Amino acid sequence: MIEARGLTKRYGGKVAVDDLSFTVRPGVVTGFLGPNGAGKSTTMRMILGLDRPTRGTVLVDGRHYRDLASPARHVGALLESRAIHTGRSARDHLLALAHTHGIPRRRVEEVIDLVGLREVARKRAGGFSLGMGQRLGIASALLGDPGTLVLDEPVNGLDPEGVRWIRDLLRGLAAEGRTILLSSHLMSEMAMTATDLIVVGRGRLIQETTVEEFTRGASGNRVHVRSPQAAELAELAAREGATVTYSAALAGMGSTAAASGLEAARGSEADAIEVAGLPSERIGELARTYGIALYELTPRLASLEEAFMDITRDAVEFTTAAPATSEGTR
Amino acid sequence: MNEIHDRHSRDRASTPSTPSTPSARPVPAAAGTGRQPGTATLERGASTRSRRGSATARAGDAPSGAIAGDVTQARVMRSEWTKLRSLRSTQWTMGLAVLLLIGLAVPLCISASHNWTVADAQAGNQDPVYQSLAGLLLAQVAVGVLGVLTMTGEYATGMIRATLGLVPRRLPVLWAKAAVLAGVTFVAMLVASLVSFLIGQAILGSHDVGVSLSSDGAARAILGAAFYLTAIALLGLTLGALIRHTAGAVTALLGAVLGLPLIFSMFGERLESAQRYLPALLGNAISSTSPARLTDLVSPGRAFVMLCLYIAVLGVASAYALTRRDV
Repeated sequence: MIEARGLTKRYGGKVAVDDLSFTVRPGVVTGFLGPNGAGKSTTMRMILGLDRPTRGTVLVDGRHYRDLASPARHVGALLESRAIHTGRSARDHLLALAHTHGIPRRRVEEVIDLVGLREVARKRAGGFSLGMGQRLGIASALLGDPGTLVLDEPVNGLDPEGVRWIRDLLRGLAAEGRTILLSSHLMSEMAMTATDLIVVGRGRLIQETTVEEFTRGASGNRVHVRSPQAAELAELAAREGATVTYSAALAGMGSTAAASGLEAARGSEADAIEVAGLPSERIGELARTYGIALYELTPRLASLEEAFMDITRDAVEFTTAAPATSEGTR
Repeated sequence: MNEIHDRHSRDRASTPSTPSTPSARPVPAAAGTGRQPGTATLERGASTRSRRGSATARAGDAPSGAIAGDVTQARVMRSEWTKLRSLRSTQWTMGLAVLLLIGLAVPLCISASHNWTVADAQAGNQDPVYQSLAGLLLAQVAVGVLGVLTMTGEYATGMIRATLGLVPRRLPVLWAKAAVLAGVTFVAMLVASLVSFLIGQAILGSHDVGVSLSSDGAARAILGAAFYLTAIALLGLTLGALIRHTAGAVTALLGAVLGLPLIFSMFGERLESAQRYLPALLGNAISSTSPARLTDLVSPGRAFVMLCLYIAVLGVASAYALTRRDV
């Protein structure tokens, strides 16, 4: 359980985190989503007591992190910058960390096995690949068997197998009742792993929601309709206040359109339309009322990415700086 | 979703000894703030039950079922000892310091044994004790760098975030690093100083200009040399904590230890009285025995106090910096 209230961090004149309040609940993976420079890492460092908030508080299991008698029992952390001395072997690294809490050597061996580093446990961490380093970081985080895990960009630079491994691990840990806060700037990764969502931009909270609600609430939702009388239906839908585009718009719908794209191109160009602003139920009723045959009626949810772009465009602070933030500001 | 779950349970199953459930501590106010408090509490309750079996209970410092105990100063010291001994840089710098201390005693004492006369030695115009310990002038560079690296090595690699993340009160880390570093350095340098002395006196003794271990001030000088080198390591540690960059901290340390005496002497008499309080000359005072030398140096006792004062002042400064700064 992590509770942030009015969390603010200023570096000189720059505001990195601005009046951020959120709650991370146990039992699910909570995604901490925002573009580069949105204040995710800073927030995580404040949770761990590494950075002192300029204002506001953040509590872990109801207490300030610095007041925890046994921090490793409450929180395990994987920070973006690898927190591993390159000259030390994986086992010695874990042992040194374990000693601070009187964690037995047996547990060190357990986490080594859990993350699959058994064969390189004696090797110096400086020679580790990115994936192995990330695994060692996760082993460190799990040492104290913590109730809360804070992970900053854990899949950054990992190969597909590593990404899948982390995703499965986190879901499993959450299912055991742990609190998991996972930051990423990759929306697709969030869609795969997270349930809850905290969206930030420019250090501010944009939305605290669930992945499902977040995508459903996005205005990019459309209904894909195929009908021999598409033009007629388009007119009816437009009269109901919907925005209708013809199948050419399919190209803009991303990968889902690719499979059907070939077929659509072969058939009549005008038999497929995209209806925005009208639920599929209403379109179906319209078609029945006016005796229009339907070949296909598919609601298309906006991807998390589209939802994110959509929502951040609305955030006041983002409007002016949108091109810069999408490239990364730091 | 189901597939993911199954995969995970299989992963878990392959490491049967892993405690697979979260902290047994209750989550305060879980019901008040969670979006689905009922579900969350239920899950936690269930998993807590399944976990207790495999966990170790340490009496007094943790609720039963927790694998991690409380952070204590003794545990942080053990952690820092593991860190220090598991780095090659420790072996290198410490080995180099021992080698320099003993290795320089040989040529220094051979040279002296040819130049000194027995009459000079008996008159106390020469200092055979310091002659055999003067390798500390180079050994101090090695132990100083070790002291700096103990701190800056963590900042350079990011390890400091893991360290301070586990010990959020931070100061126990500084005390533990200082204690472990001081202990290791003092023991190693004491042995090396003693060996240097014995080898040096054996060489000098063959020309009848040496002294014995029981001679006046000899034992104190050997202890003094070890203490001075320990003090330099600690100054390195505190400068490392303050500056947080290896190159910067090493430069500051060498500037203070090797550079300042030269600068001071260039100002002539005006700074002569102040010069004797520089760390390097305090080290000279505490590890030599010759009355002739002692005249322009402070007494060994005062040198000891002054060195302690240096460590204390820089120690307080680095403690303040460590607790105040973000990492």
